[in-house]
Amino acid sequence: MKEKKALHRFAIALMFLYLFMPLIATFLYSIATDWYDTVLPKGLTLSWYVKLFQDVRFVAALGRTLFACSVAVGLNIAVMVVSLFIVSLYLPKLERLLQAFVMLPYAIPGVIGAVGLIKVYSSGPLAISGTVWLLIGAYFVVILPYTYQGTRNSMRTVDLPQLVSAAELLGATKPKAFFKVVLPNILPGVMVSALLSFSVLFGEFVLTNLLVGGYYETVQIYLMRRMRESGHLSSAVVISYYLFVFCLSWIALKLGQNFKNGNFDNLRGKKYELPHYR
Amino acid sequence: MIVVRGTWAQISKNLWLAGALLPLAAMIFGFELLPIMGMLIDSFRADDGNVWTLGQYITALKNPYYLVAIKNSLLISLLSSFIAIVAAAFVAYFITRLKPKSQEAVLTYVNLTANFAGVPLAFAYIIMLGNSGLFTILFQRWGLDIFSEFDLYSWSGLVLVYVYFQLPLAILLLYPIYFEIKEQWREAAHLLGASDMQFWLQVGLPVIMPGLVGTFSILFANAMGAYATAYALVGSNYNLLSVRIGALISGDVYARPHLASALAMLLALSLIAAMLTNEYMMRRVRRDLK
Amino acid sequence: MSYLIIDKVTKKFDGMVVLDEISLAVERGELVTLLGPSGCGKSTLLRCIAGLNEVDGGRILLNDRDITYLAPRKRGVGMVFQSYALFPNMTVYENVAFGLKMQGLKGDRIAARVREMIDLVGLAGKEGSYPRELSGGQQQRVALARSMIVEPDVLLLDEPFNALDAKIRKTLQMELKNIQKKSGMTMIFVTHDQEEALTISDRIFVINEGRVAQSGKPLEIYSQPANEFVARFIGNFNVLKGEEFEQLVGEPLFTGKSLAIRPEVIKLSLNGENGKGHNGSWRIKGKVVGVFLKGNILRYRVRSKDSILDVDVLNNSMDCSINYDTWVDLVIPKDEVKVLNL
Repeated sequence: MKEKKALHRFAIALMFLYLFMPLIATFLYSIATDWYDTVLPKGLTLSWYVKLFQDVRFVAALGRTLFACSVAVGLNIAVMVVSLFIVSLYLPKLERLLQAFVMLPYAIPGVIGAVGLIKVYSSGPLAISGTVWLLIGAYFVVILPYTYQGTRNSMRTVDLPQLVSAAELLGATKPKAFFKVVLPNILPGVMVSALLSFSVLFGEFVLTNLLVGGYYETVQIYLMRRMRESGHLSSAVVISYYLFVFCLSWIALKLGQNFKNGNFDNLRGKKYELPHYR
Repeated sequence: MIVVRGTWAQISKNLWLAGALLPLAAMIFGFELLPIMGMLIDSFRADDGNVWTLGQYITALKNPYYLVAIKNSLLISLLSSFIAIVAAAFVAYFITRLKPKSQEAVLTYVNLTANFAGVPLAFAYIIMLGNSGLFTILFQRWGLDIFSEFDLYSWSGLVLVYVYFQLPLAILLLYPIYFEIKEQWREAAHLLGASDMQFWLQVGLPVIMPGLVGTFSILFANAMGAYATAYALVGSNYNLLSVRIGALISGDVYARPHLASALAMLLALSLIAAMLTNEYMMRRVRRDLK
Repeated sequence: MSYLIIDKVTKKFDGMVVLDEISLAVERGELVTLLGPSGCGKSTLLRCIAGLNEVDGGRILLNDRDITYLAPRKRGVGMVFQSYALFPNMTVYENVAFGLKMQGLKGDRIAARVREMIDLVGLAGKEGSYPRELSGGQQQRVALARSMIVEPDVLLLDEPFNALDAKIRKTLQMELKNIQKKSGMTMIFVTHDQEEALTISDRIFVINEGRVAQSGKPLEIYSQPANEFVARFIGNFNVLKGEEFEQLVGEPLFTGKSLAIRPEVIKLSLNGENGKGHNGSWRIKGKVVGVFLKGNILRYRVRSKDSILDVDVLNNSMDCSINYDTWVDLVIPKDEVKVLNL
């Protein structure tokens, strides 16, 4: 029995080595002075990071990414919360239909979405192709599954219909109940899904590349371009990007833990959000 | 009077509700449904955009250029999914044998690495196994020519990188399935004379097989739809379905959106088939174990 | 030498002692029951015998072999679980045949034996069914057949009927007893239900806190509890302190001791004759403070001075004259008052 445990641990350790190797390699590359034909870097430095954040083009890309992601996430959350509130209370029969539409983007890879989106928006009255607004629209749809799950689970956890009934019995109108009772209680859960969505969009490439490409350079597009030019700078981008994503995940985790039962299903359920972009 | 007022209140309330749901409906319609419909329609149109035809589909399936793309995607998806699921089957099982707290920790880290995909992943592999990659040089130094001559920018390189992002997903999906196996089955089997291997072959594996197949189909779908990683790694130099579709809609000279639609529909079909397989399998798991 | 010997077996979980140098012996062909409240260690002992838990001390001997450290497969022990543990991907036939397959026997050789066993447990016709298509009772029969067919030296049953309805339980208890007698297989049955234990066992081991509190035939255990724990756990004994009883009967015989009186040996009558009783019994007066209908038994709870006594009477008369607050006479035969060791 004991030898088996050792084998298990060894296999898991091996797996972690395999999974973390690319990250470690990239990290080393980002702090190396020179490393093109030697096994280990010639020297260590943080200058690449400095160069990165001094690069106007990068900063601009960062700004664009933040803008597009924030707008998409913010809009989505606002719309989702209100819509789910209404559906839960007034039109519960619609929930199935809503769920079907909302979970669909999860199954549709970006390429396919891009084909349709370009077709519809390259010409005619809504010729927004090539602009950030098309991108934001696409982003909006991409994160629907995540915000839907997060919001719906939060509402389930606080038992929305009962909460509103209780508020109404105490004299509140439905809108008042929404702002004063519902929102504050579901906010943590909703915030978690917002952070998750933000991470997903930050790493989105396919839609960005095909819909707006060079017209709206986000961090991922920037990375793509820089990849062939400067390896060190690119690795700094990658590591910065991951640090950012890790921070978001960590905040989301802490928020989730504080949210009583949390809007995560238990360990054996769907606790782990599956990645979207590949 | 009262009746009229009541009805009016009802109507205005319904209008109100409809209005509040409008934004979501509009976004879903505009950026999800309309594009899908548009693409569906477009796939049946000839290149000039006016004639109804099945020509695009015929091209997609007959033209060797695109046929190769489809074959390559299928091959790489199937192979990477298979490797990932076999490895994950063992690893996920080992994880279930850890202490509960350890299990949670390990899964959290696996989840973290699951996000490492797309352009950054391709880049990391270029650093490690590219022409002047870290490991390439290492293998050269050690005289391991088989490894140092490994071409990252070929189909084997793609499979390797695809396995990397398939593995965490496979582990996370397979992990819960092992909880379907009750410890008492194993104890009963042991008492009846079975070894560990016999238990797995006779009871364990058959019980989780539907879950395995279901997970495999998800992995397959995941790989078929992958774009960023392949594009960043090999660009248009390697013929993959998803990259090909992208090229057809964004290329200035070679833009053929209708063909792209047809190809996209074919891709979607393969994904739907995979999803349905998974649904069916999961239903069987639930039924078998009540 | 006895067939199965548990010799000072100790087992700890996280520092807590669950089995405390427990010792017992089982003869070949017996059906013995390990009886005790939840947490007393009976299931743990069973699992130690099966090899599913490791012992921390002591020995287990089966059929002259020391099996203390053998792997479960090698012990010749069979087990029936509370949750049936049938293999869900196999039919009834395949489940029952499993053990024989593991021994390397081939299809036709095992067919006859499997069918015989399925008949024995009363499931003829269900060979092709899957566990999910069977009721709880049926599944447990399959589990029984599956374990018995490999002819283990001893068959362990871990509260096998716990999850079943009362009626099915009673049926299966009887059937198990019959099967055991027919096959002569040595069986160890674990339960917390004393009625079940009394019904089916050849011998009972009452277990408390990892040790044997008393062992013996069902009748012995029932009518001669050795100590207060057994008296309180088995049946519905009235347990009194010596001093209490002396107050009731006026004779200082039992100072410093504990007494047990079975509720069905106390004779109850309406406040008729007072005065002296026979030489063989004590007579006391009391007031009825509770009436409980238990099917074919009526239980009267009577308060006499400061003590409460339960009296069980066969429910065979329509006489409703004894009710709450009725004064009654109790006659307690002297030889039915058991003195308990502590």
